[in-house]
Amino acid sequence: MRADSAGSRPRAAALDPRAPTRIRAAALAGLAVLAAIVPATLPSYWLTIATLALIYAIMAMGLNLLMGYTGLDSLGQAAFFGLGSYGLAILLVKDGVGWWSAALAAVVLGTAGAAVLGLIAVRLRGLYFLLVTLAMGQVLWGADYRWGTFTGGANGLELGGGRPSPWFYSDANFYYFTLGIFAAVAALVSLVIASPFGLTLRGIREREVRCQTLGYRTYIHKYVAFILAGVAAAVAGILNAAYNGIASPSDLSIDQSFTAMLMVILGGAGTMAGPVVGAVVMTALKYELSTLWVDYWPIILGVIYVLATVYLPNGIVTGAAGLLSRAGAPKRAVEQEPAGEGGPAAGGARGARDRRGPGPQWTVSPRPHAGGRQQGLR
Amino acid sequence: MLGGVSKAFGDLRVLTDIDLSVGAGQRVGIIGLNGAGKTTLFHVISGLEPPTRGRVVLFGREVTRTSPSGRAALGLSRTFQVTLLYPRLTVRENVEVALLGSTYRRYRLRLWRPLRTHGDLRTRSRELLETFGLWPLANVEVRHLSYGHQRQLEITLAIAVDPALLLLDEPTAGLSVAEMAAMRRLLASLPRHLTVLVVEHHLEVIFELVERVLVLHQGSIIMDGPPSAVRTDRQVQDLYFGAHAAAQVARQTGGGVLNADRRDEWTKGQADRREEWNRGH
Ligand SMILES: Nc1ncnc2c1ncn2[C@@H]1O[C@H](COP(=O)(O)OP(=O)(O)OP(=O)(O)O)[C@@H](O)[C@H]1O
Ligand SMILES: [Mg+2]
Repeated sequence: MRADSAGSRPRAAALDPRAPTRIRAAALAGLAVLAAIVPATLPSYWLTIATLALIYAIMAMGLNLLMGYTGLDSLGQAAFFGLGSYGLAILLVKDGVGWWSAALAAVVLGTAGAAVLGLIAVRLRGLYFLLVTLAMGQVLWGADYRWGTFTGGANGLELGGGRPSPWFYSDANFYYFTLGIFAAVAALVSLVIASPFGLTLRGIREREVRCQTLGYRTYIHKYVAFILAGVAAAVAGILNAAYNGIASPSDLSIDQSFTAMLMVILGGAGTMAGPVVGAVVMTALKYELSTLWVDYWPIILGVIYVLATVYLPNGIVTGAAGLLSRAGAPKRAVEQEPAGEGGPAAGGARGARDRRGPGPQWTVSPRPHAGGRQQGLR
Repeated sequence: MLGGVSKAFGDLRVLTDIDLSVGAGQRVGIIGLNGAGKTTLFHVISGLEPPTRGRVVLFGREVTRTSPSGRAALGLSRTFQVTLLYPRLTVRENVEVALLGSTYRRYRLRLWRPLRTHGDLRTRSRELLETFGLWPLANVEVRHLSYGHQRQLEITLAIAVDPALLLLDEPTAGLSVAEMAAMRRLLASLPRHLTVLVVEHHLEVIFELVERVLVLHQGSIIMDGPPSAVRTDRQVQDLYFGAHAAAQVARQTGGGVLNADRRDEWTKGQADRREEWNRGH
């Protein structure tokens, strides 16, 4: 996972959170330049893909806080994506609100939605959490059809343009606008990850019970992560509606949630770059493949899911970082990290892990009932 | 501390009418056979399992319905019999997660600033790791740590929150001889003002650490007294060397059928055990 040869390999460094800051900064600057010249160098078809990839990356980065860092797998991000897109559409079309106010209100709507639904969801864990988030998305999706006169039903709701001002109607300009928001969200997310709060999220992901016995009211932390993920999805929904000029039922569909989840898994959950890579790959695939087989996208999603789980269980980013570090350094040193104030490199830390053998026999009390049943607590 | 506490899992009665009161600064050992209910007792005290009946009082406060985190905030901390660490975080991150638990107010946290710029928190985690001899491993991910080091870290996390009452569930279980020596040093170095409850199968470890021993048998406290009294008690000896022994053999042979070489092994083991017991006197 760690590239200890990061110094000589900028690509690895960009993926590796522990690489020296200067190299990371250089890699980031390089990526920024690449992103900036997209409109000038790529045909408009690819500009569309790039814009959508950035929009989806915003949603995926938020979801990654929940999935990758807190350990809560949500299949309900479509709910907040849809609250963003429909919030914008309804306010613009039905209420004639100005674009920026409508967008702000839609963000607030998404946040409020996450705050309400989160109250229920974060009390649950694992499969139950997954199912409840799935249900939340489905309820909103159903509501969209039920109140069709208000939401446009199956036809969606056209925004009649839907971008803030004439300047944004140039696709290159809208791309830059999206890129700016993407950068802001990425900066915020990396701030959260590096903060003390980010560490507590990872602690909850690893062992929630231990966190509780150490004094964490873990549901508060999970609740905050849930809301942050919801806000990111709402922002993405707003941008998507503005870009496409329509809020459509597919915004709220299970496909949408599943796609977001897959971006995180495919790219690499629990890494900063993972969801971005996942969003780019998935968006490109979606557009390339669906021009060939329009109706097969759900099937393709399923196949990608299976392939990713089997061949890239930790995601592209983690896999690539692993490959690069292995190529760069024959013996992968687990213990290396340029620690802040010179943390020592440790030798001989591995190996003795399975030494639970029957030492002096009677002193060891083998636990026949330690397996399975109550493992989590003991 | 515990008043008439009972705990049942369905029909299985694990704890029956436990009354227990521990004074501040006391160190109490709890011994008993496998399945006696020792770990369950700790779960009830720390709030991970609600008692079926009875009350739990910590530091003069009724906490029977308080969450585990609420009890931790009062100054309770515990370790787990099966190591419960954060496997994909480094040793230092493990300690820092602990420090950010019930003691987070002691550090000037700035949520918008990266963790590594929080000087006082970093200093404290380093101090703790140095104290417990884990500093050389600070940047190793815990899943790559040896079992002995994991057990030490288990205690380090519990101590990091600066508790007033510490529950240790079999700190030496499964350790090698060398790891065992390190663990005994660590246990001996625990601050004196700390109230400690320790479950332990190694009698010599418990007798050198505590001033009071409880014997738990089938969910009841059958004996409560100073180590010297417990050590010489006939009933305890029988239990510990009779039933405990038989139970272990039964388990090792997969359900009670003794085969010849197993029996040899066992007889020898029991002789060693007797010897150790007598040396303890
Ligand atoms: N969650 C649970 N559900 C059902 N039965 C349980 C549960 N936890 C413990 N038990 C049962 O309660 C009894 C006491 O278990 P406990 O773990 O408290 O024993 P112990 O004294 O800690 O034993 P050991 O020395 O093996 O650690 C055992 O029979 C065990 O199988
Ligand atoms: Mg136990």
